[in-house]
Amino acid sequence: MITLKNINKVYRTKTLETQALENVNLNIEKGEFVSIMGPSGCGKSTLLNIIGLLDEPTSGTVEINGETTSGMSDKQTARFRNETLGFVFQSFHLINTLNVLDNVMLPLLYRKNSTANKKELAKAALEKVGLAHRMDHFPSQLSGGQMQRVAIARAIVGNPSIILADEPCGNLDSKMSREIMDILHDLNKNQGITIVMVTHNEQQARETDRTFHFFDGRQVN
Amino acid sequence: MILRKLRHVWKLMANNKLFSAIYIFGTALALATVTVFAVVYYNSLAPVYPEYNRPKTAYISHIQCDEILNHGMSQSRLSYPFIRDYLSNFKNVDKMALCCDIWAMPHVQTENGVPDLKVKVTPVDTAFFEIFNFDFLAGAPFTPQEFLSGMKVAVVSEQTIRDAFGPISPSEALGKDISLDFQKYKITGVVKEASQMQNWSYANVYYPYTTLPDYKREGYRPGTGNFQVIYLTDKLGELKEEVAETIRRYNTGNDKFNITLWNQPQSHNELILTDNPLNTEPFSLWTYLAKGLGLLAILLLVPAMNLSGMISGQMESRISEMGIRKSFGATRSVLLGEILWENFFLTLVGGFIGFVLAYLMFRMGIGSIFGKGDSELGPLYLSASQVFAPAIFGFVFVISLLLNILSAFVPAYRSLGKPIVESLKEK
Repeated sequence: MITLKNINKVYRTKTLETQALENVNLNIEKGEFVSIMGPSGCGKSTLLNIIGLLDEPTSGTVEINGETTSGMSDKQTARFRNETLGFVFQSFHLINTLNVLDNVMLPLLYRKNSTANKKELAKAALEKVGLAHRMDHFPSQLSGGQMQRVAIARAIVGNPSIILADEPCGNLDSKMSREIMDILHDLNKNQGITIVMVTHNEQQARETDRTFHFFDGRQVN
Repeated sequence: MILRKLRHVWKLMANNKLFSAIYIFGTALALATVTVFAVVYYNSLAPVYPEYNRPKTAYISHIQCDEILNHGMSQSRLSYPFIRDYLSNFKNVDKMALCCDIWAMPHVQTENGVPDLKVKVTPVDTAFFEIFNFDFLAGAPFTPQEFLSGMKVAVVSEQTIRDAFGPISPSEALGKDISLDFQKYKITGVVKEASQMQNWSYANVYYPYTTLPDYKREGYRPGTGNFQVIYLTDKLGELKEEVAETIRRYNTGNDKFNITLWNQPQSHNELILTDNPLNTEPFSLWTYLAKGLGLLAILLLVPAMNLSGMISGQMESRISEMGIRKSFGATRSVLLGEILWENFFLTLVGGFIGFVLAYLMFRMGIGSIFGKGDSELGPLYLSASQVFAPAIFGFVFVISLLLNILSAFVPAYRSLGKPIVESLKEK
């Protein structure tokens, strides 16, 4: 499903070279729920960004669903992200000028469905996270937990096979974190969505099928 | 879909009220200026009421007569006898009309109690109403018989009828006498008023020049007088040759005077754009258009640069949003299109306000800046259809689009070039 081979990521400035990832190899199977753990600055988010085609590795290959992503054009990459991947960010990343329904519809805007169909799918996604009644609200009118649920609805609305969650509970209290984790587990178990989650929380990591530990850009397990 | 986009733009505007207000007002001012230019050029050059025949009209408005021996010279309008004898019989003319240029404005003695009112009068012939296609709201032009017999009859504009007689219908005015400096003229027709921007056809009252006691009189020197000639022709080049040949023959056979008509007859475009009946340079419409568009580009560039700076700042605050959209599958070109669309909406709002501002500017007399209108006649009259004409609307729409692209493309394109990961880090 997701195969990373010899992934290196180096950030270069005029005076400094930082190795963010060093020779990372990992394989994630379809339907798995895996977590990535490690201290701040160890390269977890960089890895997630590379899997999500938000960033490019300096060297190495990324293969998702049998497709090698290097060499894809911008348009192909955008389409791949749109159809295969769903993102959940720590700081939600909702667009404040759009209401909940429009935020959830966002991935569908770049597809050729009818507007009615897009609305229908967005409402269905909001129902899954229990927020159908808030679809006309704006992000500023929601709590942190609700915002993250909207973000999850946005991630699943396009029916992706993979969800990449970067510390999805990082900004939430324990009760809200529990709600979010339950939703993610439900999506993984009942819809077969592969989930890759970056977390600092050992308890949450233990709930996943496998955990990859990173330190200073290297995989340590 | 459009509703959703409009709602988004509205929300963006509401979130950035100051930016939106300044942007829209700046755009409105820029486009008001463009609209004023467009209205002036459109109404001066395009075939508009009642000068629908502009592409086929040509004019002789000035003559110069030099005394060969004494080196004296006169430059003025033309005399009736000279026109009759030398400028009336050309093969390449479909129709010909004369009008007399009267500088002094007589007063109309009103019946509705308001003080006497100054009006512009133009003594004309019957062919004048065949070349200029006035809408007769009632009645008709004076007849050839009335014209030839020098009867005091007149065609009057609808507005002048209202000013002179109060709120009566055009048909009620027919047969009434209108008093011009206490000379009475019987009204034979009432026409929809032309704009002051239609230099050749605009007047409040038209009456036969045969009513002028000395219309056949030659001026101080041969050829000079108060008349102007209007030709309707499909073959201006050939007509110019005919006129030049006639003048050459006149001068060859005359050892006392030498007549000059320069490059006349001039086409409507040439006369308006060169603003010089004495022009002898070859006329090229494209040269003038290029100059006009160049001036317009400079006029647009300044606001475009200012607006561009504003959008640049605005885009900085939306970098995160762009990163989010890209994460979910938007390409740079799609986002660029969306931003240009949003911006175009603001530009259109500005454009609409600009249109209204331009109209108000004309009502306040900005036309006089362009030498249009007459301060003695009050503000330049422009109907809404003259400002909101489809051609002007289309032109300003295109310019709005251009302004939008000029001001928004570069900042939007640059901000969209930022890597997604960096964009997502922005607050």
